[in-house]
Parts: sequence; structure tokens; C-alpha cells
Amino acid sequence: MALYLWLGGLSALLFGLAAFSLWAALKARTHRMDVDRRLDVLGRDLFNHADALGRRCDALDLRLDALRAAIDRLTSHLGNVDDRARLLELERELARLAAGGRLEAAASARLEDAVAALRAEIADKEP
Amino acid sequence: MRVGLDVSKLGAPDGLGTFTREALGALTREAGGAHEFLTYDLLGEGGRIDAEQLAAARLLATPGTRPAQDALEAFVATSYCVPRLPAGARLLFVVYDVTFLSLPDCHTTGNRVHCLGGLVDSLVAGADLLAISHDGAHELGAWLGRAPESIPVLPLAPGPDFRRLTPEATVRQLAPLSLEPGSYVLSVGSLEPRKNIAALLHAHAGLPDGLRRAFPLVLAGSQGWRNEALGAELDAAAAQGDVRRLGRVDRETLVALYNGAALFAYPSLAEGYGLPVVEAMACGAPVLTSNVSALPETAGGAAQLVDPRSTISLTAALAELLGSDEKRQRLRTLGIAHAATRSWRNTAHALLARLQPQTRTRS
Repeated sequence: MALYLWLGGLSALLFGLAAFSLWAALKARTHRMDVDRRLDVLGRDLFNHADALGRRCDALDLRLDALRAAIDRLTSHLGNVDDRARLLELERELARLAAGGRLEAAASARLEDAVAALRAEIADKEP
Repeated sequence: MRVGLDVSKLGAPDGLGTFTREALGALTREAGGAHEFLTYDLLGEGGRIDAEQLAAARLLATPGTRPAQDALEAFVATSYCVPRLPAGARLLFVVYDVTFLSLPDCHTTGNRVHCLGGLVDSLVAGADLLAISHDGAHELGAWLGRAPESIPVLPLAPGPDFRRLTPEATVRQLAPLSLEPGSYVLSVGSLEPRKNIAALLHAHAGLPDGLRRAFPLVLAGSQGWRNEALGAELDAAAAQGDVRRLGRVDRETLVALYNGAALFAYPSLAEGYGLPVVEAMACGAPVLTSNVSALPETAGGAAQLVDPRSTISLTAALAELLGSDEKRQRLRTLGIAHAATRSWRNTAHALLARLQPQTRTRS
């Protein structure tokens, strides 16, 4: 009788252990699948974000390059406009100096030639 | 007298920067309290120059507000800018050179407009024009139809930092650059057409192999302008080990470079003065420079002169000097003696004399 009781107890214990192992294995698998699924989702999200970000950066870079070029053109143009206005002013001042006898006519002509050369150069640079 | 000073170029790594620091600094110190000095940054490129920066440059002056509002009686213009001044105030306008007129290809369009504009403005304002060499006075006089004698000349000088170092100090300072004293030809200046670095490079390339390898060309100076083709040539020569480009170096390093140079070559096409020539001499470097513009005057017979437009002559001069310790030693001795006769105190006293009302030279 005692032997049957002992065997029955051992069988119950083994069954319990097997059931627990099965439960633990199933639980771990479910957990792993869950984690995998979550990582997968996260990975896809990250990829999508990075891709979108990359595309935005590309577009932004292009736009920045275009903006930089436009600013350079504008700066150069404004510089030319400034220089042109300054050269016109210099021409008038030189004429006044010569007319007032404060600068020799020949010297005035030499400097006016230099001004004219600069004006021609700036005109060549205009877009 | 209350005197305004244009310090726009204080700190600039070129001749104008040196002039602003040394000449105006000496002016404020040598005045001995007889004048009150106010400073202005007319170009406004480097932001406002404050009292701390002035003290660091040993300029005994205070930052002004506006030249027209500060009751100035005189103004020293140093950057081709003419400020609006109170009625009756005298304007001393320093003309470093007129290469913006005589060598227009060596300048950017913007710089030519700026310098020409400043010169014309100074004429309108009835300024006293000052040159920095007799050659400069002659050339300016020719452009303006004035007698050169009517244009006063300010004598320039090497700064006090430019001095002979001990051999040990030179070795120590050159070590980080992997250079040894006496083993290179030095040239200094921004990479711009007027400095004629391309001709120097070609002349150096024409040296016999032994000399060229023993004395590579070392270039110190900022990037400059209009130098695209030169940049490619320099890169190719650097790849072969014939050239070292150091870029802009600090003053301490520059002094060491001068001290260690087997030869200082400065074949510029034109200079209003050519400060590097006397700076190199003060450091004991034998000097090879151009026989044009103010350079013979600046060299004062203590340098070998050469036609800067002739590569053959340049090569021959390089070979002659690099091949003869005796000739280089002779130039070294002459140069040290010549540089010792120059002083920024003399510049200051010449400026102080121009501030006296009876010295007015306006035409």
C-alpha cells in the first residue's frame, strides 16, 4: 500500500514538474514572440522615421544649397549695386575737384579712367 | 589736442595691422600726454574694439563714440576710410600704396573701389596725404599731379618682437614644424598675385636638384585671393617635398621662421614699403628681394635685389646665395645693422610733427 502511495506521489510530482516546464516553455516562447514582435514593430518604426528624416534632410540640404546660392547671388548683386553707386559718386566728386581747381585736369582724367575701368568690370559681372 | 585714430585694422595679419598696432601705439606713447587719443573702428569688420584690446596692443587711447560728435581736432585715417569730422578738424590720410591703381589685376574689384573711394574722399576733405616710402610718395604724386616732395613720408620699422633668438630657442620653436635652422628658403605674405609667389615657385623649381632638396621653399601667410592656379601648383610641389605651406602663423612662430631661414625671399611686384624685409633683417635672415617699387629703398643696400618678373634672374640669385655661406653671412650682417636703424618711435615723431598746425601740407 505504502509502495502504491509512494509511486502515486512520485507520478503526481513528475506530472506537476512536466506541466510546470511546459507552462514555463510556453510562457517564454510567448514572451519572446511578444518581444520579437515589439522589436520588429519598433525597428520598422525607426526605419520609417529614419527614412523620412533622411528624405527630409536631403530635401533640406538641397533647399539650403539653393538658398545659399541665391544669397550669394544676391550679396554679389547688392555689392555690385553698392559699388556702382559709389563709383558714380566718385565720378561726380572727381569732376567737382577738377572744376574747383583742387585737382589737376590730367590727374582727374587718370582717376576717372580708373573709375571707368571699374564700372566696366562690374557691368561684366552682372547676371 | 584731441586726436581720433582709425584702428579698424588692429589685429589684422598684414602690413596695415602692423602699422596700426606699432605706429599708432608708439604715437600715443610718445605724445607724452600732450594729446588725447580716441579710437574708431571705421570698417567695423572685427566688431567694436574695446579698451581691453587697446591695452593689449599698448595703445594709450580710449574708444570714441562717433568722430563727428567727439570734438576731435585731428584724425589719423589708416584704412582708406574718411570719417565725417567736426568742422575745422585736420585729417591725416595714410596712403600705404597705390597698387590698386597701378596693379589693378592684383586686387579684388571690391578692394579697388574701397581704396579709390577713400583716396577721392580724402581729396574732397582736403586731407594731408602721407606716404610710407619715398617711392610711394613719388607714385602717389604722379597719380595726383603733385610734387613728391609735398607728400611727407612716415618711416616704418620692424616691431620689437622681431629680434635674433638664441640658436637653442630657434631649434626649439621650429621643432613643432619639423624644420631645422638653416635648411629652408622662407617667403612670407598672403597668396595674392602681387606677392609674386608663382615666380618664386618656378625659380625654386629651376634650382639644381641638390640645392632644391637641401633648401625647400617654406611659405607662411594667409590664403589671399586670385590664386586658384597657384594653389594647384603649390600642392603639386608640396607633394614632391619641394614646398611647405604653413598658412598663417602667429608672430612668435614667424620670428622663429625668420631666425632659422637660410634665405628670406620676397620677390613682390610692388610694395608701399615691404615690412617683411626689415622684419627678416632684424631676425638675422639674409634677404633677397625685388628691385622695383619701394623695396630697394626699404632694403637700404642690405639685401640682394633682383628683377621679380624674370624667373631666370630669380633662379640665378637663389642659386648664388644658397650656394655661398659667405654671401649670405654678409647680407645677414648688413641686414641686422640696417634694421637696427629703424624704429617705430621715429614713425610716431613724424606723425606728431604732422599734427602741428604749421606743418599743414594740404594743396
